[in-house]
Amino acid sequence: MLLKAGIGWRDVPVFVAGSLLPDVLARVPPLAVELLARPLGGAPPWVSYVWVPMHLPVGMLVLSFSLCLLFPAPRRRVVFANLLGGMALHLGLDLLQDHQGVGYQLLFPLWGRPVELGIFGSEDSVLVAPVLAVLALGAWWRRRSRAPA
Amino acid sequence: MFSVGVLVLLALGLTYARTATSFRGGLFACREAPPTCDGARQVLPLYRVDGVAEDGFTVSKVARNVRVVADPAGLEVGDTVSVSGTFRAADGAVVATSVQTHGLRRHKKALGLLALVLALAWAPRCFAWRGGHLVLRG
Repeated sequence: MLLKAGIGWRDVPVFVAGSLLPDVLARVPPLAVELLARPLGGAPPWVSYVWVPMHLPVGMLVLSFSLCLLFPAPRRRVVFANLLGGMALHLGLDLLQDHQGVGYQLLFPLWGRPVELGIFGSEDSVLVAPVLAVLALGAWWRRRSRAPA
Repeated sequence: MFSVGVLVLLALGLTYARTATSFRGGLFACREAPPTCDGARQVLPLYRVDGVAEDGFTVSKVARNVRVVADPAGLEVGDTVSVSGTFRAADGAVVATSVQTHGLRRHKKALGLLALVLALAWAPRCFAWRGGHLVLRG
């Protein structure tokens, strides 16, 4: 939202959806499967791994393209760009985290070497997120109060 | 075309899963054939501690019940840790060279869940289904 506040407010919901989808589609399902299967001794590993490409560039491209097809034809380019932009922002921030070298295979399926920059810890966002949320709410509120009735 | 995209995503997912579970030197391959992997470097990111013993602890995530040889001081069942170490063929354990405890992991999950719930609650105000297409409201 803060990024969109800086570059223009159009299609914010699509951009925000794009920034959430990588975790919603690639992290939540394996966590849910892991929790549900724990009493049964666990799920087979492929059930957890099969979601991962949606958190990688190739999966984000396919996902953005597929989802933009749900919108009317004249809007598809804008929706595609905003979805992909949100996902790219998400992945860009994740790349800054440190996972002890287990990063992201940016060129999957062509090249399997994981990449991460390791600039901050994977939980450091917990300290920053509330501040950013308040700033985003402030930006949204300011825009809302300035909008013509 | 939408369903083609879903099929492509499924194919990518299955390819990733096959690669992740079979690559040489990976934990799954090492546990299948321990003698081929003695000393292979292993990283277990964000694993859950399942049990604590005197000489180490066991962790699970995608791989289950992985024994880690390390000082378990301060660890409790349910903690999240990232472990770097080497595979020991004799007993299939990972001998840790570093163990990082993620004390804020629960908070991060809670924040993520809160964001997801808020987004789902807000979505009907932003999107609608009209004339066979998804449209933005407003």
